[in-house]
Amino acid sequence: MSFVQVEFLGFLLVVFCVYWALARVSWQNRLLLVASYVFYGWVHPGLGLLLAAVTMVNYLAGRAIVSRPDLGGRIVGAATALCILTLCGFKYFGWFVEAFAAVIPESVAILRVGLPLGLSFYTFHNLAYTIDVHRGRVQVERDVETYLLYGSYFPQLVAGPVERPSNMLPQFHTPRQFDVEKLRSGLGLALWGAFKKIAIADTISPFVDMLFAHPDPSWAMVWAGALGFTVQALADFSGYTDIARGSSRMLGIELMKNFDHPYLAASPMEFWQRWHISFSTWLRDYVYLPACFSPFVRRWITIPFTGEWSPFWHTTRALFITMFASGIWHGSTWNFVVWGLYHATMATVYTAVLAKLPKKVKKQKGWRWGTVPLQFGVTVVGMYIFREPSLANSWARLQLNPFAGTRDEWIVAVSMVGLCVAGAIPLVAGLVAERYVIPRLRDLPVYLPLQTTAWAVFALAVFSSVRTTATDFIYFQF
Amino acid sequence: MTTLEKLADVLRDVFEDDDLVVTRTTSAREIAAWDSVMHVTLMISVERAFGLRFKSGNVAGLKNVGELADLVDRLKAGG
Repeated sequence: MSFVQVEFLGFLLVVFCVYWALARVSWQNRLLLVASYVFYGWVHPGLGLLLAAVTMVNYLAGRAIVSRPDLGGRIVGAATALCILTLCGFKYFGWFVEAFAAVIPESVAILRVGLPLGLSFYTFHNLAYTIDVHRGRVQVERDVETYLLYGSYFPQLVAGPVERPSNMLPQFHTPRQFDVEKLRSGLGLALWGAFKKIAIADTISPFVDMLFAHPDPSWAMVWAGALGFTVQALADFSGYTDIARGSSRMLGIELMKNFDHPYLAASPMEFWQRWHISFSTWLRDYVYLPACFSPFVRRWITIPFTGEWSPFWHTTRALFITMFASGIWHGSTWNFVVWGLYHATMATVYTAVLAKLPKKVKKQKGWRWGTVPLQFGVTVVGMYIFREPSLANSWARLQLNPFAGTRDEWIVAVSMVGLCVAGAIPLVAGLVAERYVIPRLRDLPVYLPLQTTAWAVFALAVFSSVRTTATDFIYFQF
Repeated sequence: MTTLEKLADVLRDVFEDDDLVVTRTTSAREIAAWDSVMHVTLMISVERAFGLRFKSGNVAGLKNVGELADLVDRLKAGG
């Protein structure tokens, strides 16, 4: 079930009403568990078995780690291998069949299936628990129902945020009382998310698709399309996250923030602290830091041949490993690998050059005004690489003459930029409201009617923009 | 010299800021340059200053300098 299906509204309403009618937290949890499996198995009920299998593997791994701490590392390794191999099997088997079609028998090739919705997200979410139990950062969860709920909680199940056990498990154990303020806040956040997804992302989406599908675009059309996808991606994914967080808040459970105005970042590292925060921090804690501190990589802390001790060399290598893993996770086409390595390169260049500039330069008022647009340009190029599956196309279009193009091609490009500006206006307004307006008005009598009016505007925009062929969220494919 | 004072020296050296005021509550939020790359540089520098070896599980999830100081004390004590 998708958040932008009408069925989800009915589903959430029923869950919400029954949930708050239940007095005991154990019954609320049981309801959420059943609801999560109904939500996940809505189209293909069999997928619930896969979800249960991944969840149970990690539940049992956690129990085994506390029973046999001496084997903790091996248990984590086995659970991780099992989950990641399952994920890779679904994600890359199709690519494998196509790449080796000549030698793979038809009886094996027909086993190719699509990637089950959300498999990546709940795999990472469950693995975080097993690794954290091993690291001693979280207590083992002995109650199987509570763990099953942690592993399958529907608001964050199919596209994150990739939550942490230290945030979620205590909330599932704490009695939850109905709070009208949380309802208002959650409803507002979910409506804002739906507005971003349907009124902004889905409006821009067809034009972006047309520009990227154009067989012979001009330079301006290429980059107008990339700009369009940059706006679309943020509105789509942060919209999804806001619906997830808002729905969860209405049920009294707080999910972590996943986006923090990423296009205001002044450096590649700051961008990843603001974009898809839950996955970026997951990569940091479970890929990047092990790539820096595991005994296996320690032996290469010095620069090859010179033997010189160098944290820069060490972190750069770990950064490339992490971003390569991030790229390959996004897909089996080469553009994703190049996208990951591109971001690693940009972060390395920043660390080696801009970060080394004197402090008095970086403290100048104009520093941020210069670096934010620069980083935004880096982001747009990254978005282009991400969106264009053909590396040959990307390479050819990077070499286009910026000044070439017919009058019609310029009109198309300028129109796309205009659409991006129109889409960005509500996003900027949302930022201004969040930072400057809401904190000042929150305690005034005028706040309630203003908030209700804003909701009505969002709802009206959502229902007037919705198409009969609603598009999926971009991140559903990962 | 206490662990916190020695850590403060390491932080000033890594972030190249002699005026940096370091307390137990100092965290990455207050030091603009403290990103994930600099975090690793800092941890490696702390290892060298104290003669320790961190594991990835140690350095993930540290909330502030106070937690880092406690971790250093624990590892120095053989914990």
